[in-house]
Amino acid sequence: MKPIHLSDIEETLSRVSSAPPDPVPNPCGELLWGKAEALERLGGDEDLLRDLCQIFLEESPKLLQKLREAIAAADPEAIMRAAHSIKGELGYLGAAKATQAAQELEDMGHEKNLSRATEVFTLLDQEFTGLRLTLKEFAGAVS
Amino acid sequence: MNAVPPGEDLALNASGKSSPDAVLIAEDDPIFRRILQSWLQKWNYRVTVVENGVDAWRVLQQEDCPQMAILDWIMPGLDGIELCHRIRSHQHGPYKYVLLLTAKGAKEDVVAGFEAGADDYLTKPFDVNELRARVRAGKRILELRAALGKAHTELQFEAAHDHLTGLWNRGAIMVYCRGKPSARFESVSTSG
Repeated sequence: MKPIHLSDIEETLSRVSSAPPDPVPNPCGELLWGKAEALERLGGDEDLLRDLCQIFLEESPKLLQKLREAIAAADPEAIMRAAHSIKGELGYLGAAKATQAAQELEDMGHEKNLSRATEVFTLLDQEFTGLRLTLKEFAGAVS
Repeated sequence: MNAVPPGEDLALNASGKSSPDAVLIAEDDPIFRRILQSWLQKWNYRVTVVENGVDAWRVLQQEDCPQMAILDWIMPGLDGIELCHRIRSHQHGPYKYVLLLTAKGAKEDVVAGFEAGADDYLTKPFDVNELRARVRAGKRILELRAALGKAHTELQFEAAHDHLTGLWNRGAIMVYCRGKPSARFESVSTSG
């Protein structure tokens, strides 16, 4: 994304050119969501991030259910709206893969082409299950 | 600056009760609502929070409503754009500064937002520093507008009053007579 920083280019180039893949420094939860990224956005406020995770754990099943129903009803407008909301939340938490799936569903709703909607929803649902477990762990942990 | 004589509150109108420190947040998503509310309160803004566009419009029609509004683009009922249109076409009281929240990558949204009368926008997911900078910029503009409005009313007052006595001057009396139906009638009948 612009503006491009020189350090980002260097980092990307070194990542691409160096032969051995990076060792995985993060626990696997970090692949599901970007805790560091979200924390940075929040100015390092871990308590607020914990609150947001709590809200997400409470609210997101409702959104996901809305999306599921919209897909079952083949309602592009409702799919677009529900996917848009989910995308916003996932994006904030830095859940890249799930955000991508939600974005695809939003686009499908927008273009009224639902041929792959169920398939992508299944993917999103799977990501959600993992994400919820990870977030629960984080939100439940006492600072 | 001259003191305003008792009974004359012209210069006070510009400041009003609603201050640039009051912010309306209209956001249907609970996560973004929490983020906005949490930070703005931390920065000592007086925050009013609503969950949809219809409630936002209700608040904005009140006499002492916040002068700054952070509106989500997509909301049930009334969306941010429609709210923008309404705010600009029903302008009453002090200027409203509108900050629209849009989704990432929606360039056409940004253009439509500005056309609808938004002052600025913020793309989700925004970070805390960006939010603070945008809200500060809005507050600065509202303060400048308030100062300008105050100066304007004071100038109006000075132009219409005698410096020494604080009473209406000749120009103001002439304007008053011209505006009064009975005075106009008299002037027509004497000239006829």
